[in-house]
Amino acid sequence: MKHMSSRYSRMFAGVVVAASLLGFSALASAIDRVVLKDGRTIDGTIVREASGAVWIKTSVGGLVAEQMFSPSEIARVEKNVSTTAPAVTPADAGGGTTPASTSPALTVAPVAPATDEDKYPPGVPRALVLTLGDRENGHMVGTFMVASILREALPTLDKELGTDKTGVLVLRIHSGGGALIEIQRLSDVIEYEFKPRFRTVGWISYAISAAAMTGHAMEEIYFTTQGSYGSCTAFAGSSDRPVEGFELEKILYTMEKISTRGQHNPLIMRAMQVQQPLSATVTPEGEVRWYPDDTSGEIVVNRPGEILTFNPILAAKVKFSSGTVDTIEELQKAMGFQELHWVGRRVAGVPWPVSRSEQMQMDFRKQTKSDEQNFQRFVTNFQTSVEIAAQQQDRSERARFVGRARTALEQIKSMVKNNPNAILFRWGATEEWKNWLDAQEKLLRDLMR
Amino acid sequence: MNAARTKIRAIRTPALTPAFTPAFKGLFAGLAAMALVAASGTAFAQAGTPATKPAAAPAASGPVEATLIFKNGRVLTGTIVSETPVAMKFKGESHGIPFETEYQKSEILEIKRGAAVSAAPAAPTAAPAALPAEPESAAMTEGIVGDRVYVMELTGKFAEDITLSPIRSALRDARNQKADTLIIVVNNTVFTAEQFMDAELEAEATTAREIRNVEPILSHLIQQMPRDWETAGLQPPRMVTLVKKAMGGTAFIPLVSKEIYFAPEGKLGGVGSMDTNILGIGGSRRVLEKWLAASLQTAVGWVNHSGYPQPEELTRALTMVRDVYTLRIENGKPVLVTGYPANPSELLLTDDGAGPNADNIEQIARGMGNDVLTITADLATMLGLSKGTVSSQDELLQALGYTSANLVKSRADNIMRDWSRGLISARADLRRLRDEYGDIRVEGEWTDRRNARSSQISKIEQMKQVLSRFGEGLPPRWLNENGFAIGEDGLPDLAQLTLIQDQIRAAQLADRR
Repeated sequence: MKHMSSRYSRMFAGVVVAASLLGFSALASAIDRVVLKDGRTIDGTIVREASGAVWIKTSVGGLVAEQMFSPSEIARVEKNVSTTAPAVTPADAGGGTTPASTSPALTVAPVAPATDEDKYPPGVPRALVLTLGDRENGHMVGTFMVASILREALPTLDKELGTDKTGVLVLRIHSGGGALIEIQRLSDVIEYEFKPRFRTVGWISYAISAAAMTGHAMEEIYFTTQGSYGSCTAFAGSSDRPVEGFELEKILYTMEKISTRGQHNPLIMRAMQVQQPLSATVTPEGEVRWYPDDTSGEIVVNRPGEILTFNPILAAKVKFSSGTVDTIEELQKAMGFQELHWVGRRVAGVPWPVSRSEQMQMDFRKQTKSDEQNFQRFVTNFQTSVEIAAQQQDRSERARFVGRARTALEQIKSMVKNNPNAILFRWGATEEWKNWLDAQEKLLRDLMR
Repeated sequence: MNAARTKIRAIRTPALTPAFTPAFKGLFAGLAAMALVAASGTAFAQAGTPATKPAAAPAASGPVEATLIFKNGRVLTGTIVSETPVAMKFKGESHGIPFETEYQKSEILEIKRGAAVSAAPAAPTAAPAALPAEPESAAMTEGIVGDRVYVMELTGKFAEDITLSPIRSALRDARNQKADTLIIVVNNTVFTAEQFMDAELEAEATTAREIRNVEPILSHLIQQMPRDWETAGLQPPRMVTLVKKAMGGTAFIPLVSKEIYFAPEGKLGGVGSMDTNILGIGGSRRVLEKWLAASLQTAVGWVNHSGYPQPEELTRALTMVRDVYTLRIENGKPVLVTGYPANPSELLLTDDGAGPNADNIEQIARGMGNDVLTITADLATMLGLSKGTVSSQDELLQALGYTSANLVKSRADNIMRDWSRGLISARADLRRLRDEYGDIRVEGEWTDRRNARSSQISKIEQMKQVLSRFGEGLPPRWLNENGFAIGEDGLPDLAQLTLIQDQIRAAQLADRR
């Protein structure tokens, strides 16, 4: 049901989703029910309605999932059918800390006033592209593709896309993977911050390993012509160090839960992580049935012994992808919009308008690249300056080199400020970073005594 | 520190440490082990043409103000101190730091004597000039009726002569000339059997580099080029490729085009055994399969741009030894199917390469093996990959519905040639600068020491300029052998050189009069 198509035509045009705080509060003590034409009944909390389509948040075994049903699938919608509490619980997808906003179905985070409203044509949904990684500056998950800078962009995103939930946020992923630790953070930003606010869409240029695991929180995914997505096997630096045993099980379990977020069959991600054969059959009704072998389904998705990586053709064939598009015009059409206002300014060499939110991402990666390239230089300059300062008998001479050391130390601090994950990769933990920094600053003070 | 005799052998130490990108790190990590070494009977030849013969030197008659324009694009302004038929001693100043250096005239493209070039960039720290500027007008296209056709031939050694910079420059020329159709002729130099065997020994480094270098070219052709045309208010050009020799990494260049033609002797392939190379690394099969899958599907994505109906099957046939593919005709259309032929009407494309099926070196060297696919002109037609076989440019133009009257005056050949020459000069410049740096002695009076350090910094700055301009065409092995560190992106690590400059400055600060 995740598959989005042209049924979204006009869906968002001029529609303001009536999801007020008050409305959600009232729903908090009631259950909504969607009765489908195929006889199924879905209980949960309706989080969004537009042009007859309904998004409903459900919980099974503690796993929260959001499903969307098109008007053609729905027999009827019943609201407040029970006075018991809804079956929605704060999601915990992976053992991470529960975000402050708890369940997005129950909370609409206060957002900054949309001061830019006047700039946008009324009644036309807005969209923007946010890039996660790029080829020029960097794409490693945890270094260049991080949750913190996405979170920082939230207030700007609210201003640029509006707060009425009609905004479309396109996450363009280009990354060859990286640190596992960042996946949960990125997934949480997508799940708890982006999805409740905007129609959040993945646009896959290159999503390998941790990047695909990040993108998996999204239901609606498009590929570029050369897009690839998968190869999620975890390892520790070299081919002879695969993640095994309990640690592997934990990662598999985490991704089962993230699969639920994106409404993807967990076998898909499993086949991307371990050598899980996989086949699928698309029924005449358009439903995709998955099989944990390469013989039961009509389409061989993953051959025995191999690790799954989707290309655009296979991804579309098994409806993992909602389409293959290379331009925002094609994307807009594939998403079912006749009219869409793409927020941002045209920048030479960038194939979509660059919004302020996107500029933040670009600036972050550029600075991170510079810092990464120069980190060793910062450290060496600091150490050299300290050593020379220590050799100076004259205080004023010493001060010159202490000054140089301070400059280098400020560069290191600035690097950490730009990307706090630098602490993780360089010092291991925040406490160690603080201890190191304190020690260096004391050293400089001592040199000037 | 005062009496430090700073020699490059010492200070260069960090740069000498091979900072070679660990295989399988980064975007094309998994592709590192792809054997891209191509084989054919064509002998290897050094790219480019001999350096321009130096002009006869005028009789030296005292210092002469001059501007030197080097083949690598660098421009120096200063004074000719002395001159012989083959060399000249040149004196100038950069950022207040005087320098005096001897240059071989073979490195110099032009000497402007007595010309005060106020507009020229300041001496050694000036960035080497870009490739010759393309005309900004469409003057060259005047008189052409109908579509304007631009031809760019990619010759020489891939990842050295064939790199993004000259291609980008030629494409800019094509855009400036408002080309409607772009014909890319792929004709790269391939290895002899002996060179193949030698290169195989360093296959990991070589193949990683080839793949790393083809990706920017493909991205430019696929993404940037259409944007550039649109920015200029033009429709993106129709891209046509002609395969003469598209072996190794260059095999993918035609495969991002929707219109592929072959020369009668044309060959495309030599991409190598991606699976045996990656799986041969050893370690966890699961991890290796992950790398293999990522590499394979990345390549599939490129091939998908060709519009070929079975991009995954074609890519697997081109790159995977373990996959067996047969060509079958179904309803008059070619279809790639897995497995061996079921009847005589089917054609085995690739076997499993196991045991007696493994290609021998004679087959590999001639591009005649079938562990992985090498596509000839005939086979390309059978596969439905080629639109036709053409034996000349005129035939190709005719096939496309054009005549030679549609051709704009392409500067691509000049651009590619200048790049190759510049690359040769860059190697010479870098070696010379490295040696000159090594010869600098930081000794004597304080002023002498300061000047020596200034010269050191200046030499390093010049090295950085050359490396940033031509680094993409310098093989890692050459960089290693010559003491230049390599960054994680596979390019020269300029930050290392900047670090050395920082250390020299710190030493100068610590130096007392």
